[in-house]
Amino acid sequence: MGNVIQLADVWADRRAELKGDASMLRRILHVDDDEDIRSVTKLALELLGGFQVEQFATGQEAIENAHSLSPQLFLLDVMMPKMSGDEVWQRLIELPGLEGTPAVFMTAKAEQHFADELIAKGAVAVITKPFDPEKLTDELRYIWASINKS
Amino acid sequence: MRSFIDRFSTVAIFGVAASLLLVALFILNQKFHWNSILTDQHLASDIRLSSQRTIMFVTGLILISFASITVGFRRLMSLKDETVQRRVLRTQNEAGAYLEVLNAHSMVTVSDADDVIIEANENFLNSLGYDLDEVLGQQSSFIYPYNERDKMADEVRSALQRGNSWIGKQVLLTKSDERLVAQTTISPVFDEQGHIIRFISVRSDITAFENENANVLLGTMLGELQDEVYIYDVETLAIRFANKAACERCEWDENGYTDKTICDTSKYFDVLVFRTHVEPLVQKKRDVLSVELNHEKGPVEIKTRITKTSDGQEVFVSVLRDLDARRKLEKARMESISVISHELRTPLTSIKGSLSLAETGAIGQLPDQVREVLAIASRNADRILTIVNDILDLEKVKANKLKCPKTPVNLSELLYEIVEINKGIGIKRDIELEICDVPEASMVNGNCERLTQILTNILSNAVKYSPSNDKVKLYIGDRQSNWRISILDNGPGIPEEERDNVFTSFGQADSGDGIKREGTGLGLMITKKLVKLHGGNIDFTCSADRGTEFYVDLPKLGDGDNSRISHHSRKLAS
Repeated sequence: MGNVIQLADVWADRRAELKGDASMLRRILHVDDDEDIRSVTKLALELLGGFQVEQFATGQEAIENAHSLSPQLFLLDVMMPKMSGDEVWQRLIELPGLEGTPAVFMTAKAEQHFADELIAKGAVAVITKPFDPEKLTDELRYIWASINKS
Repeated sequence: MRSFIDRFSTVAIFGVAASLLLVALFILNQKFHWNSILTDQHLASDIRLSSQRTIMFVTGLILISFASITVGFRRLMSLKDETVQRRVLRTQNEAGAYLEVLNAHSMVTVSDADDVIIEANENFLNSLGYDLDEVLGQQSSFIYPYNERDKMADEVRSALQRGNSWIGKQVLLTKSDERLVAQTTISPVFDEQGHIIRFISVRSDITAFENENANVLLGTMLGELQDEVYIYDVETLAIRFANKAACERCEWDENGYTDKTICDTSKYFDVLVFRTHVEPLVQKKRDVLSVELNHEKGPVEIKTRITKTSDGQEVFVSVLRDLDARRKLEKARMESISVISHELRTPLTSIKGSLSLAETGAIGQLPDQVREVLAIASRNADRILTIVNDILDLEKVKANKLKCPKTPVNLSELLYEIVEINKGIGIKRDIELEICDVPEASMVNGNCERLTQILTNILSNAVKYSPSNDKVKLYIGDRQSNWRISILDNGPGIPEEERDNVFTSFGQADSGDGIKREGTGLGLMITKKLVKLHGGNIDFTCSADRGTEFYVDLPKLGDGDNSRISHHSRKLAS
């Protein structure tokens, strides 16, 4: 699991709160301000993983459109202008129907304590950039399975 | 000059007076003669007599005049001689006086054409502490410090051989090896044909002046230093010097701290605690003491030494550093490094991601040649990432922020995992990683991730330096209180003189075959730090028959382990 630097154990116990189809991960909402990273991620997740990925460049756009998309998982960049990834997540899960949707963060900040802080705030996993797109799909499935395992 | 004219006049007047007297006598004589002609009838005989007298008088006149002139001239000549003599005497006196002054003031040596000393004055001997017979016959360069001798001698010689004097500042060594700074003039002396026959060296001791200048400079620098400096008496603790920053903290007037003692630097200053703290300094058991305290104005680090002042008194020198400011600086530095790392990682994510997608064939099948160049691009993107990670780690090492929480780890298991992860790195050059001899369990107290980083680094170096189609062998050996992990390769080895460079930052040591390998050169330095964080040791041996062996000794996890671990953490904390 090369990309994942932290995976929160607590999610295994919180599966009851999770929304959506527990057996299958399909819809992912991805927010990243870097256009190239959005392209690579979309290609990887759709081509290799067969996921349905909706992308936004800012937290604000994501918040405005998230409700109609009913994502199962948020994939969020952390360092973004105006609104950071964890702020975006806090706002997203306030939206009706999206409460308890788990978030996986992607960050170029490789420091361990940074990942620890995000996990402490409730993130399900933290993936460091640069990530290997080939492994990303497997990792997201693994993360999904670990929080939904019966 | 005046007396010369006076004397000459006297002689001349005497000569003129004598001539006038003769003329008068002659006239009187002629008058008597005409009277006698008028009365005497024997005119012819009288005229003959008269002619004879005239001749006699004129001759007398000429003789007297000649004598006068001769006497006058001789007098004149003697006067001239006297003046010359006097002038010579005076010049001799003056030269003597000059020499005397020069002798008293300067060190003077005379050397022959081969620059061998043939004369040296008292002052030279006294200043440098030599006897005359120790100096005579020596090359004049023998007083220069050994390492500067040839350079200085060459510089002087080249000036003198052009016929010029050499003027400049020199450092001389006294007989007791003390340094003396001299302002020096060395001049050549020529013979009539223009050949150099002697060298005269005149030197003034300007050591005190130079020291004073240096002291003034030091004083100014100390005064302006950001760190606070307190110099105070060992016995009375009275402040002898406090720099600007120190005065600011204590709210003292920069010129008005003479009545203060070190106890006045804080209202919580406890003399007894202080005396206990500095006891090892006073007892000469320690050279420097360091302590971190909470001053009422914030956390500080104080380093204290004992030193002797120029007047021979012992003083404490305490240098106080504001930790708050330093911590803020370190934080800012770490933040900027972190930002750079982030900025580099973002584009790397796109590069590596795109390359990886292309390589997997997910976006279409590619010809082999395209795949080949994509692999090159991909490898090099990985290299950039390694550098970014290394720099980030190095910054953490420097800021002592490299965290390393430990749990019991079985090195044997870990080694198999690491070899499994890294088996790809040798494939390209057919290098096999072989675990040779490993005990079932080799427990240490360590951090899995960091241990992996340590061993991966050594392993990748071993592969990098191995010849193709070869093996890199791994062992874990029992070394009493330690487990020793050894990684052996048959590469060119590391020359002994490069030993010191191996574990320094950016220190890719020259390998035995002189070929440079890729890598930042940061790896082994970080590795060494990580090993130290585990209370272990890393080193290497090279031999022609066994190749290069890098080994890491890590303390065994056992009964006696707690004390060692706690001791280690204490060391880190201090």
